[in-house]
Amino acid sequence: MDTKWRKWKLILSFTAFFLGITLLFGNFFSMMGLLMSQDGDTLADRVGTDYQNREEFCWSMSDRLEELLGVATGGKGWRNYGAVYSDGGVLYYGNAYGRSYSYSTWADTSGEAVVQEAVAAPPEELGLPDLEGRIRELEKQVEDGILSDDEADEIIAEYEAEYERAGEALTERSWAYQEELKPETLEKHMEELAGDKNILYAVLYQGKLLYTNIDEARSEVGKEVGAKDYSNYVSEEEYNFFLWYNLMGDGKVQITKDGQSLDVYGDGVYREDSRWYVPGYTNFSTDPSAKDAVIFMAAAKEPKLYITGNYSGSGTIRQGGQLYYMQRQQMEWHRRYETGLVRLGCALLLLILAFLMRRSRKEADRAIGAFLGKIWIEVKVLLFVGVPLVLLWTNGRELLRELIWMLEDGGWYYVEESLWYIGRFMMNGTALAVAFWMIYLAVLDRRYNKGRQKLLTAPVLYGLGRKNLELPIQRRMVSRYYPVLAFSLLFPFFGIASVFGLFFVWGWDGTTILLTALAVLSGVGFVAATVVYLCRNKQLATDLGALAGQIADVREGNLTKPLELSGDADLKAAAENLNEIQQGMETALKEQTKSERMKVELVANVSHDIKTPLTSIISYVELLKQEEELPDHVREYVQILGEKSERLKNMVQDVFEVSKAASNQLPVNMEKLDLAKLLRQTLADMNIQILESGLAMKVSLPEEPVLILADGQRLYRVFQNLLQNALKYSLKGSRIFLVLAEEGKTAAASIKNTSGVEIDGTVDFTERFVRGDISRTDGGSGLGLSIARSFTEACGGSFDLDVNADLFTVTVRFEKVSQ
Amino acid sequence: MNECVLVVDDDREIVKAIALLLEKEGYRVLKAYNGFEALELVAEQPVRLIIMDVMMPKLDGLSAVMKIREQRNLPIIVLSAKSEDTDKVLGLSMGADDYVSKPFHPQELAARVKSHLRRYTLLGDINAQSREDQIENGRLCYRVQERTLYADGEPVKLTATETKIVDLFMRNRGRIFPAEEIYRRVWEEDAFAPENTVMVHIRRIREKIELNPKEPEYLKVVWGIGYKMEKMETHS
Repeated sequence: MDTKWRKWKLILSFTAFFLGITLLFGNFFSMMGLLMSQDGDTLADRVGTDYQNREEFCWSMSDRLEELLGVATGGKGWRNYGAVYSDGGVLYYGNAYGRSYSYSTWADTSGEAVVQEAVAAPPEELGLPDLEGRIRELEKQVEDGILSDDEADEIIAEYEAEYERAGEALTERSWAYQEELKPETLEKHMEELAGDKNILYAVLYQGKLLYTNIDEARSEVGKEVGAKDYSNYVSEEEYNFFLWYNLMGDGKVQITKDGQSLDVYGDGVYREDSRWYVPGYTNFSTDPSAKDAVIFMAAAKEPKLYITGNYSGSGTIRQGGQLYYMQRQQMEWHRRYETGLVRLGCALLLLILAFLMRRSRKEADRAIGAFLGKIWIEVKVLLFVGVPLVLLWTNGRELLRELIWMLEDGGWYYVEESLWYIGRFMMNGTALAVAFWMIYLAVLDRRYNKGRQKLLTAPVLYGLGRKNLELPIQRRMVSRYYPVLAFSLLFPFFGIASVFGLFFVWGWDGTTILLTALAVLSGVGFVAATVVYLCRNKQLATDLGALAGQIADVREGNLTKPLELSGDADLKAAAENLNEIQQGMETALKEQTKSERMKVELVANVSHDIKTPLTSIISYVELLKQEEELPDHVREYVQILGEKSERLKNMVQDVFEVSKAASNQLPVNMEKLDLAKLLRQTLADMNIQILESGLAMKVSLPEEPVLILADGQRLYRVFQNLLQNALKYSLKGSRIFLVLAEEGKTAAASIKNTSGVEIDGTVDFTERFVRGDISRTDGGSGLGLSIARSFTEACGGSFDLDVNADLFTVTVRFEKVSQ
Repeated sequence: MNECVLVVDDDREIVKAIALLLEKEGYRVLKAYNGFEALELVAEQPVRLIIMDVMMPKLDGLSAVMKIREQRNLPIIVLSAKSEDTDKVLGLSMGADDYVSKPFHPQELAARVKSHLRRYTLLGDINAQSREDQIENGRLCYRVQERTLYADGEPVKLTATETKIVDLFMRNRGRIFPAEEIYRRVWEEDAFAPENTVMVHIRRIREKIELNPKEPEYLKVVWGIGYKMEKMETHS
């Protein structure tokens, strides 16, 4: 395959997977947030482009109608949310529906609101008794023994009752004050409403126009106009939503949107999930006074933000803008929804692509794994811990703060809240995607680099790194001491520093000066002693290295050069002992070699001396065979002579070869060959013998080549001997199994047969001249297995013989070599 | 017409035995029991072939071979009780044409004698008129046009398949063929484990061309790899 294209496929598949997963996680939760919002809108309404379809809009309009009805009926039930006064104070109106309008006088926390100042004064000024001061006085009197506890308690109860009464009176006053303030507040509020032209309105009561913010109708304020329809004053291009209340005098609401009238009441029954909270349902009636009111409202198609300058006052004022922000929010949702959908679509396509190319991606995973393997594990751990921390810091500071609070307070109360923060942090798409990729990489790293992580500190952590083990022993000894040295240098340094620290506590006097001197002296002494120790041991380490090297040399068979160490060396005696061992070995080896050589020479000479007369014997037997006038029984004798001389010939040859192989003097011609093929050839070569034997061969050889390094001619002899052996000694009618199996890096050829006679398990069959039957009457030289074993070993293989009852197994193993 | 063969060995019984065998084959046999006697006889008699033992008193076989080679160019077969390859190589490099290790089979020795004499006398002519369409390899000669194999100048009777195998081997002397390839090229089809079939044919061919089919010199198995025709020197 084209490698370049393969590489591109790798990159492509992984990029697709990466982007797919990241997009999926990055958008999944923001989409879920949109889908699972808790308001009454359908998804289409929520993320659509018409803000007027939103439930919030319906509520906004219903509330405004209710408020205007309150205004129209002379203060029966109006309310507002967050109306802004022209002087900047924020008033929160809390009221009960159907009660007279009122407002509680809580100024906002920014402190700008000053309404409270107008309403409420300090307790003293409001006429409230100083309860705390009085109680303090009473306590004093109790302490002084003027009053008893019981008496004091009584008086306190009295005070409290008095305080309560004063409070009630204050509340009464407050109500009255509010009543007094009502027209002014109302005017300010209506001014506020008028400024927001996103909602136009006209409020009529008993045929009179009370309030309107339609510019063209302002002149009619206060005039008798009857049940006039003010929609005529409003441009249908800018305003597309019209609401009339009681235009027909039926106390009902009519709504048109884009010229189409809306079904407001449905089946006429108000339920929790009804959209319009307006009177006119069968179960939602209105009071008689509201029947005199007519309200018209219009909502802008594209709400704008209305701002009025009030530079003589507090600068600029934003007028309401409720609808404007409502639409803005919807636009934002709409945008999020659309991009989210596109991204999820892309993610899905990319993931499908990644799935289709999953093979390439697997390879990419491997490549990434290999890359990760090259990174020091410290860096990886740092990233694995650091990235989440950075993310937490940038995105989850609130969570961190929570956690810190929790730790400070130690209260379980915070656990729940912290969990909430963690949850919210997790919902963050970025955090999730990053977490996924970190876990993904960690898994890849673990899968492909298990047990071979690169340690940056490995060279520093002596003895842990593998490299250290490759160093000679003397270098290892020295390098192992480095940490000790480092700390032994740090120790006096900090010792002296801490003594200096003592000065600042105790100041300079005789004791501290003495201490300093001692610390400095001992520090210097420590360092000096360490250096001396190292230097002396360095010589020892060098000698030790030389000794280890010499031992290795002796093992290698290099016996000529003795180890010379200086006379005062710690290891002098050991070196001398080693030298003696070396000498002894050298002598022994020489003798052994000599005796081996003599043995081979002896065998060679003997076999040569036997061969010459044997030649005569064979030749004359041949001549005898050619004599025609021999009687039959003599011919038979000649036949036997021929066979035995032939056997003698084979034996002489075998003995010669075995003795050479046993003394490692057998020349071998090693070449790469296919063991399976060799076995097939051997079987083919011996086919006739096998057929004649009447035994069944069960052969299992692999089809593919099993390459080994051996001498083919010798190995053929091995298997020829083994097969002949099996053929000769197998039980009649039994089977011989020849199996070649690959065991990891070795090839094992085994021959199994069932012996015809009982095998003596204690006999080593590979000993020379040993045979299954003691009588030695058959034709073998008794050297078959011995030759097989020595030839196998001469070729570098291993030869195993196993006897299990009558089952005779020989296994020949060779290291496999590559193509 | 009887060709004269000189047998040299210090073991008189062996000389006698060989002489008896060769005389039965119809050769005239001269006997010598050391190197000097051999040199004298070679100078005096019309010796056509020498069988020479290596280990002999007075003048050893190899030295005698070297001396004879200085004057005469005739086939010399060396006998030795040493069967190591190094001895064989030494003997052949000293000028011997063939090497037979003791103990040998008399028939094999007789066959070698016959082979060498045939080549020495008859093939001398054939080699002289060496033809372009023939491939020579030691005792063997393959005539491509005729598709006939000659051993020591005599045509060998081969079946069609055997001829195809010989054709393949003679054209590619020294090259090793796996059984699969031989099968594919001779039978012209693929076979699973053709080892047996190929081996059967090779054994038959050996019986027709080798002097000792049990220890083939020409058609050899390269164990674990394949089969080959040994590339031999062709003596002129």
